[in-house]
Amino acid sequence: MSKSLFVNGISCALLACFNLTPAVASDSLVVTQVNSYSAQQAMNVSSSVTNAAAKLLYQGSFGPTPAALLSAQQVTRQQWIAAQMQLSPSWHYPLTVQYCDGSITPTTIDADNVSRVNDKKSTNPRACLKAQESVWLEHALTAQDQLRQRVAFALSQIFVVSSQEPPLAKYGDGLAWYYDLLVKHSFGNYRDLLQDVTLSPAMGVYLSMQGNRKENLNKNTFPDENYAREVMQLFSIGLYQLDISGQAMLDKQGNKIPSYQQDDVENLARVFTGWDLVANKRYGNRRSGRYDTFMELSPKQHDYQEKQLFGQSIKAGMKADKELSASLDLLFNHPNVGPFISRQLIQRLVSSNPSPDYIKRIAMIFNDNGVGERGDLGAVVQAILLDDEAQGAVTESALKLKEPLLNYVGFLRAFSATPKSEHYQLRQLNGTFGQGAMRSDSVFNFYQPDFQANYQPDLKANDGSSSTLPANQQMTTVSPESQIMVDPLIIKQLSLMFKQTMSNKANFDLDLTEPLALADNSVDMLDYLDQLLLAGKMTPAFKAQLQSHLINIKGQKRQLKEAIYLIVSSADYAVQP
Amino acid sequence: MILRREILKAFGLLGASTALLQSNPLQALQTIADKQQALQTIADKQQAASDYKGLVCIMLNGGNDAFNMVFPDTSHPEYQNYMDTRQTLAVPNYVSQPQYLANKGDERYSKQLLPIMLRDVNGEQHALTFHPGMTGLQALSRDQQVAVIANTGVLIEPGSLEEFKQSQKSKPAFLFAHNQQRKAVYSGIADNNVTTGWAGHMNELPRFKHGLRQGKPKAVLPMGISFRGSNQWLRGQQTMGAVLAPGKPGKIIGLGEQGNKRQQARTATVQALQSLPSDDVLLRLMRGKLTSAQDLAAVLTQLWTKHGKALAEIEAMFDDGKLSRQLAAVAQTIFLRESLGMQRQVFMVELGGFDTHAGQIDKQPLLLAELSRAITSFQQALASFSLTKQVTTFTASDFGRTLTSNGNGTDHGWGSHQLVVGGAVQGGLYGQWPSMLRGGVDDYRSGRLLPTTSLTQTNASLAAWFGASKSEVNTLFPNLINFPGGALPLFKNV
Repeated sequence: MSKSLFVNGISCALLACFNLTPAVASDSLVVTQVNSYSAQQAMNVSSSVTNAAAKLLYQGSFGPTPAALLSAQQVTRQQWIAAQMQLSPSWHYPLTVQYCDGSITPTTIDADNVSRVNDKKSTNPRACLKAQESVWLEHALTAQDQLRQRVAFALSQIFVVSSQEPPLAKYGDGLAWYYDLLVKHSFGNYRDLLQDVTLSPAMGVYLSMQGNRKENLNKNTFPDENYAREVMQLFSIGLYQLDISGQAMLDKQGNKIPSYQQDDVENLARVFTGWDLVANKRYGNRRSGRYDTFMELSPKQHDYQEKQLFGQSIKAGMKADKELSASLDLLFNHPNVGPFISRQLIQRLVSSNPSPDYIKRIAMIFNDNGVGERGDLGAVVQAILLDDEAQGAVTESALKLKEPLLNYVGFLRAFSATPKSEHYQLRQLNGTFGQGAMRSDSVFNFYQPDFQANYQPDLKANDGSSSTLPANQQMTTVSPESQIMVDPLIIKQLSLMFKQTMSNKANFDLDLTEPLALADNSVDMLDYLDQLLLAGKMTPAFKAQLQSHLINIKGQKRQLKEAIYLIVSSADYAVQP
Repeated sequence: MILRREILKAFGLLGASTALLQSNPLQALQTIADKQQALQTIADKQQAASDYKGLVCIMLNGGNDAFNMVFPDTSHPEYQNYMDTRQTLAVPNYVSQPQYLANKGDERYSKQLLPIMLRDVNGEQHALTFHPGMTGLQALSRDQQVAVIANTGVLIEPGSLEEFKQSQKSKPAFLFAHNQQRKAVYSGIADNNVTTGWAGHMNELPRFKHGLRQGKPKAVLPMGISFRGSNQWLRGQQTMGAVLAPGKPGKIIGLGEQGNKRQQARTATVQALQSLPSDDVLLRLMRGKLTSAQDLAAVLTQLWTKHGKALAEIEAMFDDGKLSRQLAAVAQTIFLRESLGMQRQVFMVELGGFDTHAGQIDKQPLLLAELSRAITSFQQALASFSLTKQVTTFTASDFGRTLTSNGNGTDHGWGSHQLVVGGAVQGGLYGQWPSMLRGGVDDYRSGRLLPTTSLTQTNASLAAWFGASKSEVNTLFPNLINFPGGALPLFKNV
């Protein structure tokens, strides 16, 4: 059996490690678990263990760094997850504020200096957005709490807010404050998350619940239905009734059964009236008021009449926050939530096409984490990653395409990239990858969960060449990420990968010392890259092509760079192991 | 590799590689054959120029509030209903509000209402108004190039308000949900369970031969092109069109057959890696995507090198708005139709931001002004190619919006107005202007209007103009038969 090439990293003087009695392995990531493994065991890790660890890191983190891989291969999946969940969260808001403008009190803004903050924003609106983007990238590349950050990014694609909505483009710090709610609740309870999202300034502004007013028949105005509709369609129960395995239930005519009616939307819209930013100049104003604390009630604007939701009555005169809480409870307890949210989290982390049974297993954990708690996201995340389908026990085939941005971030992490400038930055992130944290064009995220690609390029269809896939496979396989893998963006991504690998003008420095040192010791650097980048999925034919290409290139470093580029720009790298 | 060669050859762009080819006798013969084909091409071109047709869909993403895009003039019988129902959101009211006037100096926030007189199919005149800032569309309308389709939307079958309220008529599933209604719009059959679109199906009709001119064996670009990402409207059974980006196409740095030896070797290896066999569905999908991106980059770069000056001149006719840039790219692609060998092209472009629940007074004027400017520039570009009558442009949107407001914006509705623009269009008003009274005869539910004209009736008219036969139109739009009026007579008799 071939051996892992991740043996206490470069500090172990490389191959010598195989022969020496090593010290305790890396002290960086794996906390106490390491000690339970004898050093000897750590040294005898087989490549299959390393590959399984790499697979886990592509699912539960932004991809392996050499150090992270070294640690992860020494513990079980479950131990790795448990250790990750213990780590303290890396927050986005404080750092965003700090990067945005160090001269302003970073964490606590009292009412007195709100106007000062606002003035700052109007003079330099882009900076905070850039700062927020920079912090996201820094955490994705360097934070220790990788699982939490990865789950937060997944949640940000369900509970979508975006800087594309004009006022939010000027509140990068407000967006970071929102993102921290996702970070906070990544392993917490979905119900708490739903509440915090609902009352957050960024979501309030994004889906215009902030500033919503009760009806006024004299003016012919009615409450805004925006948040009421989308919180049901996208954040909780979805459009139609699902069974526990996430499959649509059908009526006698074979039609999907709506999970809510227009009446429900209109009544819920009335629940969501009267909420506004704290310290706002005027009710409903979007460019003043605080974006770093939850919205507050303006009783005059709230509708205190009776409401009917899903056939249940919310009594007249109830306190607005009680009523909001009762309404969110109704959503939270709807049987759709488990399968609806579980499927999307599986899709973001592990598989585009989870089996109905996989969805069912996770939804049941959502419904009850084993000790009677509903909505435990930590238990859900753990179950998603521990499932047989996630561990590759069901099929050898790729389960999902990587998100384009994560494909690139994974490449940077694999070589412990450090920025050449002061901050972690990628220019035109959204314009290159078609995505970025809180940069979606609409609340429907960058791609639809049920997007089906066309598996036969149009140009080839013209000359009658045969279809590349059996029709039944084409029709059943969804690949959401492929919706944004369009030619103009692929062209930019390939170019960026080339520049980052080959050119001195790249944004980041890549650390190549380890693979180069291995190569000096006659270890096949392609095996190293295979374990790190492809989780051991490199086929012999692929390897043979690389070898015959590299043989004509002089110098180990040039060979290595060429190999890295050829792998990270390949389709084999773009599918998640 | 072979594919790329053939593509370049197909439109005489072999350039630097030609010399290489001629050293090989077999390939020299091929070159002669190419030359003969080139002569044939010139003959084809002359015929093709008169046969060319292009169809452009402008998706107004989010659900355009068309009730403020075109609204009654003071003399129109619905004027008072419009003003009463909309109140602060009625355009004549808000153009003098401080919030609106705060933007003065920006011509897009002009106060000037733009009257137009539209004749319907019965010869009656309708006094209507375009939103301020839409001066270009007003001029095109006066030139009889704009059809306004009143209160149209996704419908499976027609029916009265009562029939729909009593559920005696089937209505589209998941009304008022953005993504579901967009699907229904794109499908052409008011069905949100399908993933294909009516343009995709139309493009696959054998008669169009993938849009290729007579004698052109192979397409360089597909017939359907989206400039705004993957799009359902262009997806048929087998094809889904190309996705391009406006502006000069990017090169793939480090790859390409034109570069130095090392780059050529790298390119060969990349192509070999992408050609490796695999049973893995997603892996094959990705390999196909990477290959097609490289082919496309090669083709587009060559085309732009050859026609750069002309293409730059076209671009200069447009401003740099998001929609303008996309329509500039459409105009450029139409300009390249002969090099591409295309006789039929279908384009999807998009302007987002129409989901105006909040801040409608700030947002929508900018969007409508951009829509008008972009279309106007596009018509000018087409005129410069003498193709005004051969390209038709129409708007679509998720749905209409409520006539009532929330004080700051409007909500998801159903019926709405749409525009069809072009030199072949018989300008005027189509369908029935709705009652704008809240609770009136067209109010399906709290200010959401029941459409009285189906989108199918416009689509069928567009497809027929584009060249689909009557039976093909009926197959593309199986619901058409439900509507007694049939396809709208949108086009001038030729």
